[in-house]
Amino acid sequence: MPLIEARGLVKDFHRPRRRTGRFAGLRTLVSRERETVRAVDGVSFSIESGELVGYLGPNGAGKSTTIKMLTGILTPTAGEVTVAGVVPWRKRQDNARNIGVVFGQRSQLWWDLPLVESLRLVGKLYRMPRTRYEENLAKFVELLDMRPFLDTPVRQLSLGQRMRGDLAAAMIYEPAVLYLDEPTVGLDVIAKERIRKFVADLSSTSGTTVLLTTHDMDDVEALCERLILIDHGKVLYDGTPAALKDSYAPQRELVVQLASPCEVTVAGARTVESGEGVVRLSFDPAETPAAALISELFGNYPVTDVSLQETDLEDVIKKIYAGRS
Amino acid sequence: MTEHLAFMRTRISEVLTYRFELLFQLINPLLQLLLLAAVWRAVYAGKSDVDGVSVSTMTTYVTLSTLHTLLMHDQIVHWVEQRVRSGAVGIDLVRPIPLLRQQILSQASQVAVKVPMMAVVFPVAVVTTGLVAPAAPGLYALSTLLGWLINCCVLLLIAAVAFWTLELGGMTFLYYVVSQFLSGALVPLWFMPGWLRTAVEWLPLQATVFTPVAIYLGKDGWGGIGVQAMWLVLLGAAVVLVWRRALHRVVVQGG
Repeated sequence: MPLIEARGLVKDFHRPRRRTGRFAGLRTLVSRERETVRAVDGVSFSIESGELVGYLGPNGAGKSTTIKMLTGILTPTAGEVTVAGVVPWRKRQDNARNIGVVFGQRSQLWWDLPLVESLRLVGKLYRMPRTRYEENLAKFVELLDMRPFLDTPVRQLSLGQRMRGDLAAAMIYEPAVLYLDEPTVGLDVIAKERIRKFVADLSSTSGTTVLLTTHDMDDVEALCERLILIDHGKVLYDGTPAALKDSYAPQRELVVQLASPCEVTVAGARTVESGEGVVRLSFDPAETPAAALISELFGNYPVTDVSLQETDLEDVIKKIYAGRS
Repeated sequence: MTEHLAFMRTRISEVLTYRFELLFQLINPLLQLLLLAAVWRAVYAGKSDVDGVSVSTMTTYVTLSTLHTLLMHDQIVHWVEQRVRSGAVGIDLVRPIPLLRQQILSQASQVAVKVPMMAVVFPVAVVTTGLVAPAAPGLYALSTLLGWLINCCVLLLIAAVAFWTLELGGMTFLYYVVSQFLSGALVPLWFMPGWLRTAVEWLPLQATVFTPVAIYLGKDGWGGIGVQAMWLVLLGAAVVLVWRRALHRVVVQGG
């Protein structure tokens, strides 16, 4: 049985219909008329224990709303969801014991207290045996390099430090599932790298199931073996990043350096750009193997160097978002 | 149990972070105490009793009602409003303690902060204002507990409105003004005109301050406890119902 299962998940939000024109504000205030916005529209997926899944989509696609239904914060309008056999919104506390959550935009840490106080409280709330807590704390302090700010009040931490503290608070009681909602938002390159490494370690050593939402494709490239792409509340794609690249961007690029400028024409490849001794060729590896292309180039042209460009997930996603309604 | 105590401990240390703020919270009851005592002394001006109420009864009333008001003044409404408005309530909902129980524990934590504050106000009150011996100490203690619980329920009901409106500023201001009066914190019910007294007696707030103090003074007894118990059951049920509905319609603000 899958660890996380969503079937036909729907969430509607209601808000008062905004009036326009004369006395618009007042008329909005007294009107009972409301409009319905469907944030999540029939999302289904299942995630097996130990998977590390990227949940992607543009702003407002319904990612966070889905996460809030999986964590039990929101009650679904329709559909079913179970996490480790528990219906999250029916049994919020049972569910809370199985999961860890990090919201990049807010913190579960106690604002006015030293970081270590928040961690200690989490240990108690989850009824951790003292020795286990001490062990995990020592491990996380080491892994996340938290020693320098363990006794600093949370309100004085930098964003990167706070995020590390939040990760520790979400994982110190060893939940089976970890939800990361934009954990790297606003962080510098080094801080992002550290968090990715922590999540990768956690997934491989503890077998924690991770569901990650992010706008940073480097997060996804570094971590996820599976992607679920949603937009307008519906699932667009569910599969590996490689398959996504193949289906949305089958073309690869070869950059060729030439000893002297000349026209390059090779069967099975299209010239994208040419000039100053550099030519960019686009080809479909399914039809023209890269090796054949390269050997033909070396045979016919004064080639000094070639480099094969990896398909960028960022470009693929951009293409998908741009192509939407 | 340990997790509840740990939660309370954290809440207490959080409140204690802002010591300067606590100092100001002390000025409030002291000021109320001294001003009320001055007013009642002027009313009594040489008379030993007014409408059959002796001056020592009245000064004791002022002393005790001030302490009770201090006990009832609670940050919970403000706290819930803030959490709902900022969307931080989402975080609270994924904690392993139910949201409503978190609020009750928060209220209990505030008592732990109030006790040392009372230790400062109490001697000042006894010396400057006065205190007679309690008529029924056990019954008074029970009534104080019931009064505190009723107050918790009323505040939780007000706080729950934030789940619908997101904003409670005007409502809490109105509540604090009206509750000072309706609870008997400023004027004891026995000096109110008949129609007003009847109205106040039909409302729950008199059960928070007036009833325990009246029991202390021997002006009420098991009858008052009975009314308090009834209010506690009614309001307690209302809190559970309203919070259940609130959680069902919770909307987390801001992504």
